[in-house]
Amino acid sequence: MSSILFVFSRPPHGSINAQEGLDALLMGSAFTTCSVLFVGDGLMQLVSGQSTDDLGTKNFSLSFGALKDYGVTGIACSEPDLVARGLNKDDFLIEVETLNAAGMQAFIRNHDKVLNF
Amino acid sequence: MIVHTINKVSALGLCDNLVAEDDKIILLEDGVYLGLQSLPFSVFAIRCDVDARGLRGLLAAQTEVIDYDDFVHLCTEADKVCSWF
Amino acid sequence: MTSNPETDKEGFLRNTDDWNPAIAEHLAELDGVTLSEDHWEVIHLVRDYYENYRLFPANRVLVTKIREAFGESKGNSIHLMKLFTGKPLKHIAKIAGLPKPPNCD
Repeated sequence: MSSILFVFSRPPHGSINAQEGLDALLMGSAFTTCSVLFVGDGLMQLVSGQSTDDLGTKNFSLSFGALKDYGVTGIACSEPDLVARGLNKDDFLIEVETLNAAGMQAFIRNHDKVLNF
Repeated sequence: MIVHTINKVSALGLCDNLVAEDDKIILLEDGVYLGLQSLPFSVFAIRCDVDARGLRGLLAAQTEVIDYDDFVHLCTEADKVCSWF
Repeated sequence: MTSNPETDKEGFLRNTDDWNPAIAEHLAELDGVTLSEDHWEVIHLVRDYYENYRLFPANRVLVTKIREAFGESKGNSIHLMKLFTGKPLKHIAKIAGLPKPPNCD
């Protein structure tokens, strides 16, 4: 079975992309090895302290905490994009590996399919 | 080799760190505007999208204009295709 | 219970915050289930999971969590099927006052 790398590249609440990507990742993890790479504004999905109560939508950022239960162990983010946003790993909800450009290229190479959300 | 397709200018920012040295970038739709500048990658642009926007004489020398047949051929040669949008 | 909370046409609570144990008993009754201690273990587990992760656990995840919490004899799909009849996930979610799980007709 093909391994799939999900690339999350969009911020969380402005469009449905992030929620759909997460749904697809959780679903895919039932069938095959799935990993996830956060790039660009996709890193903002991981920021802790998101509160959507007043927005009236589901705070799906909390669902990232369940990835380990779903067997998703390859979780990484772009180090250059982290630095560019003035963030560090302590700002995130979950433990994430940081990868430089070469590391990300290898991460992509080591999966059979890549899906961008 | 991985083929990266880009269909809008802003999507280059998502993938510029992810493109390896021997990968290929294919520009389509509004992504063809990226073909005006010189990029540190191997770059192809879809002919009909280039022509529709009147860009044929404006492309950087390195940007290679291709047809859909070539697009398909490049994709079949690739280990995988990543779509950036 | 003062009044029945609002539900959708399949019987799921429209507002998760309306839930309380008495309503769970009521919803279970409508599904033909009488709640025992074994049922409550599962209901509290999925409610805690939802509270933590805003996610109804997939079947395989739920089974693993039950096994971790309550032991091998309960950590299997058959235990859930016996407790909550034909479509356990749907019934559990409904009785626990949570939204209908994805891919659950």
